[in-house]
Amino acid sequence: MPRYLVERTFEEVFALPLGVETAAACAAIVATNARDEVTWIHSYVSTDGQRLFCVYDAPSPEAVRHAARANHLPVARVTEVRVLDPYGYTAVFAGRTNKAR
Amino acid sequence: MATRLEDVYHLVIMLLEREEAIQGITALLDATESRGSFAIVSGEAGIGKTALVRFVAANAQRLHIEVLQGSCDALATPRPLGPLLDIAAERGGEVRETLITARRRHELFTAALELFRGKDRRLVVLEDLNWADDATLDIVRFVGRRIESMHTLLIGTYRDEEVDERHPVRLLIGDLSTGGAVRRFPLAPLSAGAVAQMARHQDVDAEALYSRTGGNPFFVTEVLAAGDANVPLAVRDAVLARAGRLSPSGRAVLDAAAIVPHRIEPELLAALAPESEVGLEEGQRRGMLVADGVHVRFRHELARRAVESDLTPARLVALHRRVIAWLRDQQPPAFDVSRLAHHALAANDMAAVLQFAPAAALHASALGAHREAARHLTAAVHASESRLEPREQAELIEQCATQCMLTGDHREALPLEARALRMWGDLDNRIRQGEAQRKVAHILVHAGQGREARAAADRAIRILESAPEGPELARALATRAQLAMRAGEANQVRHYGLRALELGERFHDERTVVDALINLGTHELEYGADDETGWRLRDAILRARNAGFEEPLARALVNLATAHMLRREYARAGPELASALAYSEERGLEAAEKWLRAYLARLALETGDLDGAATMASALLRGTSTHESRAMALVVLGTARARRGDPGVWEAIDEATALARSLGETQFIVPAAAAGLEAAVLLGTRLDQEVSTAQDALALACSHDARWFLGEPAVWLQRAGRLPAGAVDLAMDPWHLELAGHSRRAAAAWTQIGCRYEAAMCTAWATSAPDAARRDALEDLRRLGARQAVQVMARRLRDEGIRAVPRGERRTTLANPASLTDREIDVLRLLGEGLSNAEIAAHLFVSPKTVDHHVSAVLAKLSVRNRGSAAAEARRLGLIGADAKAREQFAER
Repeated sequence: MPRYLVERTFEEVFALPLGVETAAACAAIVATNARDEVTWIHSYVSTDGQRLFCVYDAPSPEAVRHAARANHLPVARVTEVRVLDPYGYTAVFAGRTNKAR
Repeated sequence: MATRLEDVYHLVIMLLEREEAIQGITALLDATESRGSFAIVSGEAGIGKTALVRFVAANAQRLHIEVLQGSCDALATPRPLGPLLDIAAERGGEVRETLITARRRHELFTAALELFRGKDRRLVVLEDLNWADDATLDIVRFVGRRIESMHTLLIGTYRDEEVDERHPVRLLIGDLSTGGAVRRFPLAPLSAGAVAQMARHQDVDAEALYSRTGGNPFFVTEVLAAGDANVPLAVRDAVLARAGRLSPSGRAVLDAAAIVPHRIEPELLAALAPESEVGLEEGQRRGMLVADGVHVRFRHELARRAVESDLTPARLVALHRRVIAWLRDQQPPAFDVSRLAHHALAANDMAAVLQFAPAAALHASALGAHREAARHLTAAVHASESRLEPREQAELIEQCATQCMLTGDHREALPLEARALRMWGDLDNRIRQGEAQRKVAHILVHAGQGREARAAADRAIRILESAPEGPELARALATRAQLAMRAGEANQVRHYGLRALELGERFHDERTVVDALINLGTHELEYGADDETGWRLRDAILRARNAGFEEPLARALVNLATAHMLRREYARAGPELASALAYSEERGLEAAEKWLRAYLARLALETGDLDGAATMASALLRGTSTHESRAMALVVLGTARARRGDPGVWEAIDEATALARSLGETQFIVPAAAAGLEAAVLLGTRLDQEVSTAQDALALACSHDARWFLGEPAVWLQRAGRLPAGAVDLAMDPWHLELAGHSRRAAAAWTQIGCRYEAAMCTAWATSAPDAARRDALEDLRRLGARQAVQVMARRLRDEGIRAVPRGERRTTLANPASLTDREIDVLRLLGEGLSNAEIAAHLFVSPKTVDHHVSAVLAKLSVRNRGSAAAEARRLGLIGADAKAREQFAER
């Protein structure tokens, strides 16, 4: 499944509540994503809390957007990415099919 | 349900690691109070799907929920509607009769629906769908689409090792999964611990048991039941070890039961094995056979296969022949022509195959089980070599080709029909030869080879013209007219269409008349004058309805809608697409349905709903679809992705282009080329390549006088600066206006039609437009979500020296309860700081009129009367912050 990086920019500071609510909030997001076969890998938050970079495995960019909307999250830019890991010798350009998803 | 101790023991153990599935399915069963669902239980053979399902069924019965159970036969060619007929028989009533005698798909579907839907809650179980015939699968698809509105839980099981990606069951699940009422329950093998627990009372090496059996419950059970300390290597050996302990009469009964798939009547058993009662009793006692009063069967299909595989070929043939003899003497339902055909094939009795297979095919075809009909006929064709007269054989071969076509298997159909064509030629039967040639053309269209199809249709006409005139010639002409319509060959459509119409009327061939009317009517609506009403198409619709022609009616409804789409008359097209879709869904016309969904995606794209377009196209591409709908959906998806700047643009467009090329029709080639060029301009790659493709497409459209298709590639070529001279006098408005340089009028026309993206692009691109208008257009593009288009146009405006073009991303709010657009929030923020409309306009570099417009919208959305309240409300909702930094609207990148 392809991997996508989603960039989001927020007006106010993005803050996930830390505590018991976090687990429930994350579980809810994961469950909603699963309906579109989207898997949230992890996210990076800028230190000013206004930019979010989220990594997903998903069947298509449309699935990512659909799941995002269901979770009430905006989507700015979607880019397809591959993992480049200097410590493993992961194949960066593994074979791809030609069919669109 | 079996109540023997051994079975109960196994039931309890095998359900040990099935809590999740049981809980899930039980929850769905409970939920049938309010909505129905379709639960799919899958797993390898012997994993315990049946045990699970029986457990759930027993629970349901305890709750007084009606339970209906059917399973599909492992016949090489299953009985059409097998499991449904079984359920209907069990239930009683008239449904079974209706299922057998129904002549129209609609009747069939409506009757079958009664098995699934009732006032009270119901559980319907269909096992082993991997062996289901096409008619059953069609009905399951039909029911699956409507299951949510019923108080029914439908459980379907299948073996996943028998089912690859292209298997009809997988495609069925794919089609239904987009609906949301489908839940999947894949079953995993037992863990080592569970196996150890099962084996704890026996002297057997639990580790070896686990590793040899892989945790397969059936295999484990067989090994334990054999009571041997050694664990055999395969299930087959375990079963045969058990069978080996039977007495000769027991084994004879087992062998006899093994060659009749699914289950066997006791009377047939008696005919095949001496002392069958004694043997049966022993088989039951040993736990290998189960008798439910009406039939006898193996406890598991794997066991049956194991015993069957141990029989010598001679013994097999002898047994099958005895079955045939017995079946021949019976009345229905035992006299089932599909069963006879199956055993005839197994017995290698070619004469019997020739006798029964064609009849079995006829029966299957009438019920819509075309895959089964095709298989029967293939066996019959094989058996017919040097046993039938050429004329009879040619007939058989053509029937087989027809069935293959009905399953969409043109690869099989083409050589068959071609062979029949040769044979009719040798027999000098021009009429049949011409018909066969026309069918070849039909197959070629479905194979996506437009050019070859047109050539074949031309040949058919020539052949039939050399024979006395008749309805066959009319049909060939109508086919040619349709091919001309698809290819956009304007003159040819009228030429062949009118001839077909005249001949069809003369020979009273209503079907041909309707087909000809549809082709002519579609063409006239697409290329006629502005006041063209499509009267011929409406006439066709009326006549098709009266004559009860389902597929032509669907085609007419579809063409009416798509013709209005071509003319960009969305007010008409929208409702027409919806009603055509409703009709197609109701009648289970899959191909038409997919085509219409592709068009709905296109409608969304053309009216500026990028999100809707991408979502719909993506959903369509996930399931099965025809080449045509796929080609269209891929163009929509590729374009939406390009406009948004999402990945996967070229994958979609390249596949669309390849499909279009093999389809060989203007209506696919040109949009794909235009989309490719737009993507190249927006993404800044492959420009030369796409320009070349677009120029070729433009030439193609011109040569076919396909005026509705000229505009798009021409406009993009002009924007890329590579428009060939004199190419565009034929283009329709509003493209024509833009090509001639009247951008303001073109944009106004686009806006009036409802094409927001085209309107905005037109203005943004036009150097003659005022700067403010171009910036507004950019804002429109942003509001449409066309990020990549915004980026490209913003750069262009800056390069032209226009000031104050926004850079970078808009910030968005996490919560936007009042659904204000980005722009409206900008206005609101400045308003909150006390600026007047004029000041806001200056700050945002838009006209004061635009700001007035935004302020009104804001007031309306916030439900307030004045600016002061608006600001207060916005602060209360957290839409604007007191932070002075909020002045800075745009982020640097």
